[in-house]
Amino acid sequence: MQQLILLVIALPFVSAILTQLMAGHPRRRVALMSVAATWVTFLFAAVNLWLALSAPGVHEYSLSSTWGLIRFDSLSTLMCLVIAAISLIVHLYSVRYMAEEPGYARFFSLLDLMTGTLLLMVSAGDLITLLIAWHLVGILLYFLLGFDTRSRPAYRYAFWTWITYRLGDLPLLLAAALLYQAYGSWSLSVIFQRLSDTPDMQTVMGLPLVEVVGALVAIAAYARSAQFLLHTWLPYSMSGPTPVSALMHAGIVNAGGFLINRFAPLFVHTSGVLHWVFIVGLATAVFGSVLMLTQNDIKKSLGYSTMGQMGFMIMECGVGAFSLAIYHLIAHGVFKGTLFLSAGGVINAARKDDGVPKDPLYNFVVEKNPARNRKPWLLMAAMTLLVPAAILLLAHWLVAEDFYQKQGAIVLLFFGWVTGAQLLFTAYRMHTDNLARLFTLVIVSFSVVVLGYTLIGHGFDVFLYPDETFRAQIYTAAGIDVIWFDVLVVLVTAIIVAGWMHTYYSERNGRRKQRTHPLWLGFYALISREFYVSDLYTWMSRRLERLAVQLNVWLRWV
Amino acid sequence: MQALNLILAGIFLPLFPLGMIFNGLFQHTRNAWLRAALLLLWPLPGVWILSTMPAGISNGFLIWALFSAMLYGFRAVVVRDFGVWIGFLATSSWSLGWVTMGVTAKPHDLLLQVLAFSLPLALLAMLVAELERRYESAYAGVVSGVAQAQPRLAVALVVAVLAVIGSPLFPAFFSMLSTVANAVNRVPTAAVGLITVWLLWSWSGARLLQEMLVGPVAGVRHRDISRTIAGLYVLLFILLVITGLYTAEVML
Repeated sequence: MQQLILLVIALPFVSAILTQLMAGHPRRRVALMSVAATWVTFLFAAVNLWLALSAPGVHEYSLSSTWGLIRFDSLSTLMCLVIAAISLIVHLYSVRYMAEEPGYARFFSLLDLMTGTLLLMVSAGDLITLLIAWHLVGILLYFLLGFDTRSRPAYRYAFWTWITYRLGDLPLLLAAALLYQAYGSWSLSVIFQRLSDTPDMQTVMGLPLVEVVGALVAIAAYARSAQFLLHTWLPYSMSGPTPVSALMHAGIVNAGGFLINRFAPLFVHTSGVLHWVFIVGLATAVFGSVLMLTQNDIKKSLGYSTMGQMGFMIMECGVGAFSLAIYHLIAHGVFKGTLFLSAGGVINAARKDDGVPKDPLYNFVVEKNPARNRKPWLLMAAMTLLVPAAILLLAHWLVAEDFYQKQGAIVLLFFGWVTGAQLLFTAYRMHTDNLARLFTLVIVSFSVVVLGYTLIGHGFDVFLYPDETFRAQIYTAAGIDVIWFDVLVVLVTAIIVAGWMHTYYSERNGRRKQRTHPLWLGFYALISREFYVSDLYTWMSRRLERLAVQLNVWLRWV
Repeated sequence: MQALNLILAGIFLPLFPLGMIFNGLFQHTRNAWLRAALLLLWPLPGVWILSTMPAGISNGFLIWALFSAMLYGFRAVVVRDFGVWIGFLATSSWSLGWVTMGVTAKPHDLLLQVLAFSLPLALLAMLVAELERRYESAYAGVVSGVAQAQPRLAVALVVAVLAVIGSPLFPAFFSMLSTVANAVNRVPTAAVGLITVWLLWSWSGARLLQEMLVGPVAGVRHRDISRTIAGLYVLLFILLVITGLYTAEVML
């Protein structure tokens, strides 16, 4: 019955061929064919996941002697369902959205090919199949983003995506080559088995194999998930059709988190790589969020929001919360897909009516008009700091009594705590007739979110990594020296608490309007130019192209 | 004798500056069939010479070959004439034959690798001739908007370029993968060089394609290739994929 996964992968490819062959038929029939195939793929993927839930285990099906291995396990079945579901929504949306566009059959054919390739990527049981699918995703995305063959800007930005993806393909290729040379097999199961037997193998220049391969896999994940310095393609790839943006932001960009999870048996043996993964994820989350806040274009703002979310997802991997990253990518995929698909509607509606609601919440959020003379600030500040912490501790205690021994869990607690504190602080500044009611509602909502996140996250943990020892090993690999960790925790806590207290105190005493400091203006200019990263890349590529022209002239073009 | 053999091998599996001989000849050949024949036959003497050489390939030649591949790959990035681009890609990819022999020393692998690039290049040369027949040149800037004007020809060009730059399922992909896998432990810097060359091909291929295919249609409309010819190309591409699968079985 588990062989059903082969059908899940094959169906979109068959549909892609049939859809293209039906190009001359009425559009409705073409769309019907593609949508029907995606429905069936989705249903089969759901059955697959049910099978994995009822009888956990790894099954492999070989299509060739050296490669073409399809892996049925908890990660592949879960990801197959996610991809099939997002693809189905995008297909359904595209039926009417793309109706006026030329190349209707080509669009559905490309969409089907992309779905099939993504399914193949998450189910790949060997390195060659994984590399093929990984590489093909970049190519197909290039043609989907550049669907409008009249638009040069669309292709310009599609090219940015393509070249960044190619940059990311190459480290993965090197990682695959190193693993093959070390363990003599392309099969992931064989490699992971041999790796757990001899994790201390060395590779080129006497470097530890797991560290080198781990770093290469992480770089491949960074490029795919738009991590800082490899992110410039993401916010600019909006010239493609909206359904493609939805598919990209909801599904394709999450591949980095999947890749790190796929190589979890390798990462448990690393000692330093996950710390770098955490730092890169953190930097991306901060830069992405800051850039998102300064955009005045809804789609670009969504693009940077995705970058921030991807940073958070990679950061979760960096603290050892691998399964939480998978939960995060699913949750993010669903909400970001919805946002993209409704963005067009929002823009259309805004053209007819500005839609500014006449309510105090909107005025508060947009006009930033905080209430004055609130309740005792010290009490509120204490509540802001203590309530989220109490809820988070309780939620984590429910799933694992020894959670405080895992550094990763504590780091994530920190983020949750800051978010909760920010929420309460925002509520404190709002105009309201009944502050107690508002606070109760805020605390209840926060509790529901935290409990849901923690319990579902724990469910994912148990499903994806049923072996408790293995789960503990991941956290250990991500951990740092206890003394350093404690010092960092105390330091960061002190800074955050001091910051909040200062903010509350200034709010209570009324902020004086000050002239904007030139440093802030400089910082804003830096953000508005997106930290000059894309400018730098453009400058570098132009210099390289000029050099190539010069060489060709010298060598007379032969 | 050894030196002469090496020079001859350097001409047929081009090392810089000997690659100029092939490129000069290729650019002066205007007939599509002759160009295809040149692309298929030119590297074969080089394959034979390297396969029969008693001594292995020294590291010096390996570095020289990688430099040649990188140089031609880099120069191809700004090329706007499809004919010149084919010549540069042929030079860049064939010079990697030295690396293959250096790290595997298997003549069979060398032959497969050369064919993995020659076959799609020959196919591309035929397609470029179709472009030249319509537009009198295959120069980006003169030719644009092919995707709108001749969609069947555009699809064939895209697939052929993807095959040349080593995209999955085509023979060049498996051949490059095998060379990188064999080089990574023995000469790690060569492996990094190989993937850099691969990246340069992707850069140049995508750049050239989008300059020709994208954009508004030119004033004068030309006919697309017929369905029969398009079907023939589809068949040839399927054969190319089958060759790729065979390459994977043999080389990996």
